[in-house]
Amino acid sequence: MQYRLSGYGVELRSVVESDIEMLRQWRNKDDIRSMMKSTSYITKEQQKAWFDGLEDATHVRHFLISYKEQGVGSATLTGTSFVSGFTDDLENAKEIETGLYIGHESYRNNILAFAPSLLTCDYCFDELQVERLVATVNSSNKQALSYNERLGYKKLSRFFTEVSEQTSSKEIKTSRQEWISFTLVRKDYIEATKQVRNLLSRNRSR
Amino acid sequence: MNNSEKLVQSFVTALNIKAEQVTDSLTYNEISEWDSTAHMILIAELEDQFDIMLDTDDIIDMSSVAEAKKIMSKYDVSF
Repeated sequence: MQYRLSGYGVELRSVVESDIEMLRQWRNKDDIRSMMKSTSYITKEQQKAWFDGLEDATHVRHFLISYKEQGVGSATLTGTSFVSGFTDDLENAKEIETGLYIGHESYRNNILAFAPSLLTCDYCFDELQVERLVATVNSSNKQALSYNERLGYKKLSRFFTEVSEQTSSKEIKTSRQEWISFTLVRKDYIEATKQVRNLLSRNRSR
Repeated sequence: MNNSEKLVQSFVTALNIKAEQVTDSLTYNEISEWDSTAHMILIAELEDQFDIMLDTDDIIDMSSVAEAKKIMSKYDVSF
């Protein structure tokens, strides 16, 4: 099933096969990849296998973010049970994990990133009626930490992971990553984003 | 004040920076003072100074001082 969300100057639609190479190129950029839970380089074959696996998935929706009819980034919603760690069907989830990145170079340092976040928050709280959203951010990603707090997210916990990366044919480098878990309820979202929602919901006059 | 001075003043007030820092090459998030909150204050300042109402695309596209001048020119503000 194809989904389409529109508002705050951007459009989100379900990822289709013709999008996946562009998404792969963005996802493999060093500065984006390094902030992911899985930092490995994604091959074309792996990307195709990932896309093929989405066909029957009901717990996750992957969107392409478009601005002025041009793909600029990726947004993902995953139904998840915080207590059990098991994924839930998105339509029945009480809690959804959000993920987002802007891949298009022209919009990496831009207030645009707020638009798809506001759109997905509205969709999750108002249409899917979830109780809370969660997000996990690498503790070194200061911009994303501050960004989540501006959306009203509250810090919940922190945890560590070991990440292994093959740096040469003989060497594997292992590093310890710190992650911060955030949670967002509708009341905090509405309060924190009143001003930015107003600014980004103006009509196009020209 | 002429339009260039008004523009610089808007950035100075909204971002709480010195006038010398307001150059064409200054971009959003390049300095800690120009974050999303300051961006919203900046929009309000520009609208107040030039008596205009920016639309959503212009608010999003205003990612540098140079871009701000370009956008303002669409509202018949010349520099």
